[in-house]
Amino acid sequence: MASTIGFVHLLVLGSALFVTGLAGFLARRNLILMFLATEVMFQGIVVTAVAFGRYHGQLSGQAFALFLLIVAAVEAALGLGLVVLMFRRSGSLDAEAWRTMREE
Amino acid sequence: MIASSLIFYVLAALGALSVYCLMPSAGYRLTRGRRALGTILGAAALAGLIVWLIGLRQVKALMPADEPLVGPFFYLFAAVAIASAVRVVVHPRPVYSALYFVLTVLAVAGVLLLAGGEFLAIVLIIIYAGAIMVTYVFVIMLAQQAHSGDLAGSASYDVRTRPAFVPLLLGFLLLAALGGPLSSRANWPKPESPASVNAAPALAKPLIEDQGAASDAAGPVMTAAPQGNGPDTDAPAPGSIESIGEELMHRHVLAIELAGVLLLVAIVGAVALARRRVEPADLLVGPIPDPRSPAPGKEAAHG
Repeated sequence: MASTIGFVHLLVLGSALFVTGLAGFLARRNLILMFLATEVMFQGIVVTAVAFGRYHGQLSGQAFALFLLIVAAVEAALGLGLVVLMFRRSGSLDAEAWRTMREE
Repeated sequence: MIASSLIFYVLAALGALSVYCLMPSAGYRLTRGRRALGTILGAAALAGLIVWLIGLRQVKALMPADEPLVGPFFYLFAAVAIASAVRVVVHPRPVYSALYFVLTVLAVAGVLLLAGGEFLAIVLIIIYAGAIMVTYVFVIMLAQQAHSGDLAGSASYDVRTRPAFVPLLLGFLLLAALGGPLSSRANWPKPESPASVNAAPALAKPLIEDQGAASDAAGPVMTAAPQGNGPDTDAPAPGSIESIGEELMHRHVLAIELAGVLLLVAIVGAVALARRRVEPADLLVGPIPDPRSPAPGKEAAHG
């Protein structure tokens, strides 16, 4: 098993993580789990960014991943604050409970 | 090469079928057989993916190829990451989903460690597994009804998800579109010449030399190390804190400032969100508030 690990390996891993998170985001109804699925998508993006940066011999990919971490932290703080507010309002975490927000 | 991408499509379809079987969309009672089927399908897809990845020939190794354990560790971390990500998505209990997500983060950090991102791996563990997941678990505990050991007390929106067919079809299509073309080498971008690798250290050179010159006055002990080393040996390893810091401070200064502003705005927004609305009648119990000063809670979101 002396296979070299190239960037296709990392790209496939990153896209698999991203797609898993995407499917979870679309399928789950729990608001917290939908946010958690976006975090899974972030993991895929981090892997992809590092892979591309490494492939081109630059550090910009890792810098981008660092900024992604900052955005993820901000998103978690604000999004979960909103989720708590919505839970207080409707008494459930169901995303379907808010479907009447649309214009009839 | 067409056969190689076809294999990838089949593997992606297997994975999508596995997640479809594991997704608790048809009631938990019915999914005993489906769980077993989904687990078997998922394991098969994952094993097939690993075999498919081993068979790929790479033009440029991103990880040290002479170390015999790098390949097995990469496949181990990748399998753990994908499997635990699937568990995050399909688990009917949010707390377990959060814990599986910690496992995903640890596995991804392992992959990054192998790929030369040491600092990023540590930061990922500290921020994600340390800070963000504490927030998630806290909110899950706060917003969830206490339930007994079985799933009977779980919320209905956890046990019964949306119909999972369309999301998984979309996921399969996206994964096939992303990963299928990667199997033919003609689609890979050309790696840049290693000369561009040294761009960041070359930019950093004047800074380091300035520091060396400044510390000349302080004493000869400080300057001995930077002057004694050649240009190759004092270049920091890519992925270390030193090189990441130079990269950030030389090329992404504006982005760093913007990130600081973003964090500040997030703090203000979180405080504004978390404030409980105070009715003015409640305040009248105490001393009458000064009408010139705005009442607390007035600026909060309405309702």
